Amino acid sequence: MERTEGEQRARIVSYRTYIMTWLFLLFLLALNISVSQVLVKGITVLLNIIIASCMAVTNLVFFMNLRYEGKFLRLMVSMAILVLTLIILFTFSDVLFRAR
Amino acid sequence: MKPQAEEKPVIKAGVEEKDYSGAKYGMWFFLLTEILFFGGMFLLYSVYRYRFPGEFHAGASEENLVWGSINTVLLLTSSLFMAAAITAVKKGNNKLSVILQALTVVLGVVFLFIKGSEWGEKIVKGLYPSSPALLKLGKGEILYFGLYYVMTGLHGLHVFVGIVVILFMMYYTVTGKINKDYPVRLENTGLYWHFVDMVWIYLFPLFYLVT
Amino acid sequence: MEERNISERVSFYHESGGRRGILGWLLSTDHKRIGIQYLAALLTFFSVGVMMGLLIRLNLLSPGKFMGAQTYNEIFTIHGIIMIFLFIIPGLPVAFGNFFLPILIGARDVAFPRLNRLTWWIYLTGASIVALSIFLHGTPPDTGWTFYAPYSIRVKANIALAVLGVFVLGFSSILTGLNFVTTIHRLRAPGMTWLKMPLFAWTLYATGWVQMLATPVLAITLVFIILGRIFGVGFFDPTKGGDPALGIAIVGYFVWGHHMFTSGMSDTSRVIFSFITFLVAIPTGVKIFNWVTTLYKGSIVVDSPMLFALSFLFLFSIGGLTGLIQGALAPNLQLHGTYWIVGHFHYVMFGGGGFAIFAGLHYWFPKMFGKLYNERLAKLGWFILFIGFNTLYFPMFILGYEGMPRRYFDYPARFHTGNEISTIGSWILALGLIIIFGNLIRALLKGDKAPADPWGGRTLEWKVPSPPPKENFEEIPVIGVAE
Repeated sequence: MERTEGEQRARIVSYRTYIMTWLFLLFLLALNISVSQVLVKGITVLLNIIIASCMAVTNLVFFMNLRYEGKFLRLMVSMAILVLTLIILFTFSDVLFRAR
Repeated sequence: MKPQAEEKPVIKAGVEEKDYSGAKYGMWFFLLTEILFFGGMFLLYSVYRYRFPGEFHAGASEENLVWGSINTVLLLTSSLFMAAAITAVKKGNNKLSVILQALTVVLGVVFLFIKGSEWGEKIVKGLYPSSPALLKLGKGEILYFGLYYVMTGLHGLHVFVGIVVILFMMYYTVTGKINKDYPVRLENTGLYWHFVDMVWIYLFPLFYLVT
Repeated sequence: MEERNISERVSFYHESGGRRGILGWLLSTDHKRIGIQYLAALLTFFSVGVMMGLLIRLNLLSPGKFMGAQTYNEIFTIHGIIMIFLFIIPGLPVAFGNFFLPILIGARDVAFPRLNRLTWWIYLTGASIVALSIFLHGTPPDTGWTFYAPYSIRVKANIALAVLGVFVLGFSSILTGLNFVTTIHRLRAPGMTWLKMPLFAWTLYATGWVQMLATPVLAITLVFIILGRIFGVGFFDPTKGGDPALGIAIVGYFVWGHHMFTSGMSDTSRVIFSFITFLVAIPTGVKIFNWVTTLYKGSIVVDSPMLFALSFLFLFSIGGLTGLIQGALAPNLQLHGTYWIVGHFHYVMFGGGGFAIFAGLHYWFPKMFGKLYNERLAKLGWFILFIGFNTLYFPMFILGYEGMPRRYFDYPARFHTGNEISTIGSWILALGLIIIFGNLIRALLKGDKAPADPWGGRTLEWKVPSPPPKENFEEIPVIGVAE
């Protein structure tokens, strides 16, 4: 649902929400570090990136208040990420299959 | 499309009317271009890391996990202060907001200082692009350190720009140009600062957690 | 709005915001003043580029007689840089987009007028840096406009400067796109729904997104090249483990992947990119059929803008069809890096982009400058340009098919006839351009005054005076159901 501009402008996010977000981010950070120290090498890279992505999404949704933005902006953010993913996929279509 | 006419700013001749959503759109669009700008670097990192996994691990052993983690905490905390500064302005408490913005700046400066000394430590060891010591290492390590300097360097540049912008915002908050009726400049600065923080969230595991 | 009301309002040429002379232009935030400045800059660069092009052809008439090989390399590089980065890419959006977008959607200005002014300054800065790279002591760039690594990393020429200039230009391109997209979202007049919006505004909207999503990726690659040259960071330098092909690849992967079939990229990748190249042909084909069927049963008035538009269709179709031929993997191996590519590229860029810009220029000239040009001279100029264009570029397809490589300074005797025809074509084309621009300049100086709507146009720009007043509309128009 599109939120009206007046609503968005007047919305005040409480300090409490931000502090909770911050604590959650710190928790994820600690998790990320311990994963890299404890677990076996092969999977840690993937796990690290997944946890980092969780942190990034938390950041987007709570600090950057993407959840209060309209449908259009959310769509566009996903589009930028999609374009980036495609570029990476195309590159790897070359890198992975190239005769060495 | 739904009718939104009543939300649109009415611009009278010669009168500059402020368009809150327009300003927000502009900032978000800018951040999208930034995502792709940094995306190019992450792409390069992933390709070279795929080609030289061992040498990337060896290169990353130069990094100090403790300092890297401290820096991450610093940036996350600065993001908290920045977000709170916006809430403060919206509640009409400009004074508190200025203090919170100042704290953000301080944390940003400390971050840059720590990052700088990490760079310095490596440079003293002779590990910088095109240095004789570096060129003796394997190709993968040359690439690793190249990426390290470029990615953290461009990120540092963004932090620096952010600090300068926040200093301006502090000035506007003091003079009241940023107020609870029109906080959008500070909100946009916040968006930028959180974005820069987000880039670091990815840089941290890529350079400090691969050992 | 009544006709009487219209003529009373002062045109934007007479409202300099209280600033004198050139400052009234440089410091202005009026989208129309900015648009006019861009147009002037674009056409200046275009003229320089044309001269470089003529020199290239002159050399190929009789290699070595007029210039040395190094000079030749520099000239074709500068020709490419100027035409691509300073003329074609910014072309339509910055000049006509700035001037007409707000008017077309019924707004008084773009969403961020001051950002728009800054963008114009950034464009000027970028252009100056590029110019510096040519005139500064040392060698001007000689890599070709594509700056392909690893040559661009190693050669001793002012590459870093030229690339920096292109980077700055890219920044201005991103900001223009951002500004236009926001403008279209926020400042459409009441009733101007998305589907009522004129096609040109749609074009600018799409271009805006492309500028925002593609330019940053190009920009980061340029940063890598600059860092490679200044600090020796060797991302694309094979001696330091880098992969030059990757450098070319990241530069806008959607666009340039199909330039690399012979560069040793993987077969998987080749098939994917060949496929994508064909996919691109589908919407392009739909567009061309759409334009052609629009003409069907229309009452066509063959004015000069129409002639340019029609020849655009013809030339762009040739460019598109030849693109399909080289997009297929097998013929590509023969055609890669030959004059075929040069021919294709000029049919698309000049025959497509360039003719479209001329069509726009002739269509909107009365609105932008408030003067009428001589229609017969315009048609004559168009005719000579069209003949010259085909004489110049069509032989290139044949030369390329026979195997003449592009960018070479010299060629075996059997290619001589083709090159001769092509060079003669370049002179005809130049004559056509002289007539076209002579005619427009003459109109500026002593053309008749243009009415608000010389064409019987239906879009908003024809409802305001020629040239328009400072903030376009006294009252924001309300767009109702079809008038």
